[in-house]
Amino acid sequence: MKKSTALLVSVLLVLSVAVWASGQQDNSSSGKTVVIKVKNFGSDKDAEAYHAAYLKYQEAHPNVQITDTFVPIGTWREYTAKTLAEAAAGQAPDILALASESIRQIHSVDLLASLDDYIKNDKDASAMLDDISPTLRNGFVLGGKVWAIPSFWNGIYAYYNTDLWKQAGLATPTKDFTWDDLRAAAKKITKRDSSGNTTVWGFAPDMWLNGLSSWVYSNGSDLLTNDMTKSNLKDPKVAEAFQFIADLINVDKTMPRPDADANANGQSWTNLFANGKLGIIYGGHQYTQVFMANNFSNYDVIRIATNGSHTSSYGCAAFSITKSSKNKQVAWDIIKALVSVPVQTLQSSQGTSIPSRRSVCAGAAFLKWPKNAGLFYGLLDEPDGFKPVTAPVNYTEFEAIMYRYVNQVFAGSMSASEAMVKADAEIVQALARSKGN
Amino acid sequence: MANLLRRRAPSSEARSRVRAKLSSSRGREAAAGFLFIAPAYILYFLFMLLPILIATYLSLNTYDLMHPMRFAGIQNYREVFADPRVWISYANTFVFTFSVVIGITVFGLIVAMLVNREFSRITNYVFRLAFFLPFIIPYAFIAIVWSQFFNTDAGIINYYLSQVGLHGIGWLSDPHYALLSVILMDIWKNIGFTMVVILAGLQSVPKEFREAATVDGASYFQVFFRIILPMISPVIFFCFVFITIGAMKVFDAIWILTKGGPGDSSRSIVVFIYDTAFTSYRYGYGSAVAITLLIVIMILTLLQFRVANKWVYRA
Repeated sequence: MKKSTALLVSVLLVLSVAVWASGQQDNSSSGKTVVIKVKNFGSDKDAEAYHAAYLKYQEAHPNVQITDTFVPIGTWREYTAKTLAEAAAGQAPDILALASESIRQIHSVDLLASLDDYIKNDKDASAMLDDISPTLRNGFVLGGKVWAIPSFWNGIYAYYNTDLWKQAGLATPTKDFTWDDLRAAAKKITKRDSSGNTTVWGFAPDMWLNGLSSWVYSNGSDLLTNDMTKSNLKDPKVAEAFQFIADLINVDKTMPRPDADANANGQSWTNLFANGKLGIIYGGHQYTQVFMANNFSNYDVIRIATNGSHTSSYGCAAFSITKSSKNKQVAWDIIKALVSVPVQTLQSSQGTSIPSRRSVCAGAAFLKWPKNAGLFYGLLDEPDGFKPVTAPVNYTEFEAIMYRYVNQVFAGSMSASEAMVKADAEIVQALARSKGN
Repeated sequence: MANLLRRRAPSSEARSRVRAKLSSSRGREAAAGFLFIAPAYILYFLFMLLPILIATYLSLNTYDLMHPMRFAGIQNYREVFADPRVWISYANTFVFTFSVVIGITVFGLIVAMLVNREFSRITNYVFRLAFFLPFIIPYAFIAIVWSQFFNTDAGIINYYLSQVGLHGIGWLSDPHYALLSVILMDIWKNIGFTMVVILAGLQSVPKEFREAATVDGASYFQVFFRIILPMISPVIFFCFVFITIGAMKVFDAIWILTKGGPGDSSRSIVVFIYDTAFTSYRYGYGSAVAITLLIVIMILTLLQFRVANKWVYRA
C-alpha cells in the first residue's frame, strides 16, 4: 500500500508540474502580457477621462494591461511623501504623474528616466510638444534634459462676481487692477447684518502655496531665488505681500479667516463665491467646475491684482516614466495617449484644470465660459504672465514651514516681517540639510 | 492488617518511572502553554517590541529614506534637547493631557452618577447610548463635524455667541484657542468611555454602606466623598492611567482639526514626530523624539502608580 501511495503522489506531482509548465508556455506563445502601473491624481472627472483613454489603448494593444492608482488631490506634500515612500519600498509605478511642486524633489532622488531619447526617436513627439507652451514644458527640464510631459495645469486668476460688482457701483476691472483697487472693492462689496455677522465677503485668496506665491510675484518678489536653492524671505516685499492679506482679514475684515486645511478653505470659499456670497476669489480654472455644478454664471475672470508686477503663479501636472520601469517604450506610448487631443478635449469640457495643449484650449468646448476664457491659456504667452510655483528640492518641508508661519500671520498673532525672518532661518537650515544629503 | 495499610516505600525504579511520567506530562503542559501564548507574544514582538528596537536604532542614525543611512551617535538626542519646537510640542501635550484627564474623568463621573439611577429600561438604554455613542464613532468623522462647529465665520458656536452679544472666536485659527478647541472636542468624545467604566464601579458599591451612612445622618456629599469616591478610586485610577497614556499620544484629533497650527500652538509631540519623519524626511531625528516620548510616558505611568498608593483604596 505504502509503495502504491508513494507512486500515486509522484505521478500527481509530475502532472501538476507539467500543467504549470504548459500554462507558462501558453502565455508566452500568445504574446507576453505587459503590465503598466500608473500613479495619477486629479478630480473624479479627470479619472473618468483617463479611464476612457486606458480602455481605448488596451483595445488597440490587447497584451497591455494598465492598472491605475488614482489619488484624489489632498496636498502635494502628502502625494509626494507617499510617492517617495512607495519608491523607497521598491513599489514605484511605471508612469508617475507629478507636478511643478514635486519635480525637483522627485528628480533629486534619481527616480525618473529622461525622456529625451523617446522624444528624439518618435516622429509624433515634436507635433505634440509644439502644441504645448514652452513655459509649461520648461518647468520639467532640469539639467538640460526633459523629465516629464505637461498634462494639465492651473494658474492663479481673479474671478469676480459681476452682479456684486455692479451692485457696489464698481467699474469693470482692467488689466491694471491693483492691490489698492482690490482692497477698495472688497470693502464696498462686504456686507454685514445687524448682529455684525458678515453675509457677503469681499475677497478670498487661494491658500495653496501656488496661490500664496502669486501674491509675492505680483509684488515683484519671490520666496526663493530663481534657481530655487536659496531663501529670499528676508526681502521686505515678501512680508509686505503676506501682511496685505493679513490686513484684509484682521483690519478690513473683508476676507474670511482661513483654517488649517488649504483644500478645505478652497472648497468652502468656492462655494461661497458660487452662491453669490463672495465678491472676488483667486484660484485656478478648476473652480469653474464648482461654478458649473452650481449653475453659477455671474462671474468673469481677470488677471490677479498687481502691486508692481503682473506675474502670477502656476502649477503644472505632468507624466513621467520612472527609471525602474521595465517597459519604458510602452509607458511612453501611453503618456502620448494621456496627453492626446481627444483626452484633453474631454477634460476641458468638464471644467477641470487647463489642458496643456494650446489647440484644445483654443477650442469651443474650453472657451465657452466665462466671457474672458481666452485669458486662461493666453497669459502663458505674455512675458510677465506666469512663473512656476516656488518649489525647491525639499518642497514638502518648505511648504510645511511656509504654512506654519503664514497661518500665524493670518491669525494676527505674528507680524509678517517677524514671521518671514523666523521662516527664513528654518528654511536656510532645511535647504542646507537637503544639500548635505 | 497494619501491614496492608502501611504504605510501602516505592522502589528507585518505580520512582524513576513516576518521575519520567510526571516530567513528560509537565513538559507537555508547558509546551502546550507556550503554544497558546505564542501568537500573542509573536504579535507583541512584531508590533510592539521590534518597532521600538528599530526606532532606537534609527534614532542613532541620520536617514531620509532616499539616501544611505549615516551613523550619528547621540547627535539626534542633543538636537532634541536644543530644539525649542520640541519643548513647545511637549508643553502642548502636557497641557492637553492634564486637561483631558481631569475633564474626561470628572465629566464622566458626573454623567455616571446621573445615569446610575432607577430609570425605566428604555430610558436607561437611551441615556447610556447617547453618552457612549461619540466614543465609538471614528475620530475622523467627529473632527470633520466639529471643524464645522468651530468655523469662525459660519460655525454654529460663533453664531450662538453672536446671539448673546459676544464676538466670534477664531477657534481653529487663533493660536490662543486652537488647543482649547481640540481639548473640548476630545473631552466630549471620550466622556462615554469613563462613564461606562465608572458606572460599573458605582454599581459595585454595596447599597448597604450608603444606606447605613444616610441613616447615621450623612449628607449626600458626605456619602459621595467619604464612601462612594474611595470605593471607586481604583476605577478612577484606571481611567487616569488609561487616558494619560492615550492623551500623551494624541494625533488624529489635532491633525484633522488644526494640523498643529496656527504655528505650533496646538502641535502635540506625536504630530511633531509625524511632521519631522514624514514631511521633513528626518527619520533619525523623529525616532529620537519618539524614544524620548516613550521614556516620558513610562516615567509618568510609574509616578502615577507610586502616587496611587496614597489615595487608591484597595480592599
